[in-house]
Amino acid sequence: MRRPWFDLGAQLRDRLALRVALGSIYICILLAYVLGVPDADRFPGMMPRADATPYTALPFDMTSFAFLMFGVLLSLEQPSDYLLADNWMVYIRRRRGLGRFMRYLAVVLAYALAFLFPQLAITWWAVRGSFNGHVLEGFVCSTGMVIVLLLVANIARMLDGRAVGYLICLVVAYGYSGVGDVQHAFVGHTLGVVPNWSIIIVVSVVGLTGVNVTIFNHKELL
Amino acid sequence: MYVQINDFTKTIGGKTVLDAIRVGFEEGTVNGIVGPNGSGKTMLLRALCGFIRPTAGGVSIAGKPVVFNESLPERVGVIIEMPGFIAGRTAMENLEYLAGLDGDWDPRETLRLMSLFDLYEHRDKKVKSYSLGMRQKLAIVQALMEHQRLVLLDEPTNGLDRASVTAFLEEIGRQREGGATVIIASHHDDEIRQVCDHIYTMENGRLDTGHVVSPAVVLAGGHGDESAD
Repeated sequence: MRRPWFDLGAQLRDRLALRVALGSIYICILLAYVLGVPDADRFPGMMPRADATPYTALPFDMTSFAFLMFGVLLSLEQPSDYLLADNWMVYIRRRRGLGRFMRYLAVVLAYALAFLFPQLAITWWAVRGSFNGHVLEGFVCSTGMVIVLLLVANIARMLDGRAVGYLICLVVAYGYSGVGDVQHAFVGHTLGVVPNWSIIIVVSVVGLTGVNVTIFNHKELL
Repeated sequence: MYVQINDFTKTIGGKTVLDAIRVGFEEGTVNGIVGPNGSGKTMLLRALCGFIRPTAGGVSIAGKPVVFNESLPERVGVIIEMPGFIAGRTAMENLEYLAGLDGDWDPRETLRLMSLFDLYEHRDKKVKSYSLGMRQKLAIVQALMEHQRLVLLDEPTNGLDRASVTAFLEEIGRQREGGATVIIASHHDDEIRQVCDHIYTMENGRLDTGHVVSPAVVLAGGHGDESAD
């Protein structure tokens, strides 16, 4: 028999109305970007270049901000639901262990890619002739950022502080999309070749994963 | 004692939900824990399963300690609150999946239990088509289908009709004859008194072990108290 977490159809049908409602808002924001004057060097989820002209009067880049926040929200906490399912019928037979956490990470990665690939396709369509390595770099960076935020939200949920988790995600997304110093730190290079964002994201994912595992291992089935 | 609880205390958010529980259950007996909602019955079963970490004290089964989130010393069947079956799968697929987790499934025993609880004809139907009572009966089947040596049942008769309750009580008697130790937590004490060897009362996280009630005597209207020591 297939494992519950392979029941993708059931997962997608669950809370479908809420997902469609959130997705509709996000699609409007994305359309505003694509139908405007898209930056041919930039994936929508990537932070803007410091010298880029904002397409709204907001003190942050709406597209990358919305990208990160909707990336977290559209998951509807389903990866966390999977991780934290308190199914006593299962756990009395096989204890909750690292395997479940690794599957959770796989679910998070799969979700992030499922969220990002359609937007990569849209970007390719929007900037066709000038699709380049910067776009792909932005794609990878954005995937990492969505994963980072999902891990933050999951820690907060395990500590019974979901609202605080979303607030932290909001602050991180704002810093990424609107604070010049953060953006400079991200787009710089270490040793002239390694982009800083890759180091920041790898360190963040490793650190947050460690925190997640530690809390998960101590989480009781109450 | 087959199951020994030694001064088990659990505090959550400053509130003591299990207060220095100290009791033992002999092998091959059926034991009832009765008490109002919120008295700590379910939490005590969680403690026996190793689902929670004790604030103080501990639990042992067959002389081996139960450690939080580590494999249990013995095979344990359990019902705690609502069973989380996979709604889009059939009853048999659910049972096969669960049995496969620890790698030992007895299909004949499973089908016998399915028949006993009138689920045999519905075995290939998806669980989402099951009524609440049918799901509860399926939960009982999963708790017993692997010849578990220790069976922990929280409100097992919830949602069951009279015939199913009778079948359940008969099956519990059969489990006892087979040497299983059964602990039933319920607020339907009139039902479980019919099958229990000992009944303990629980209130505000405390288990009253000073007044173990002999069910047969209680049903006869006499004074059935006996010492638990």
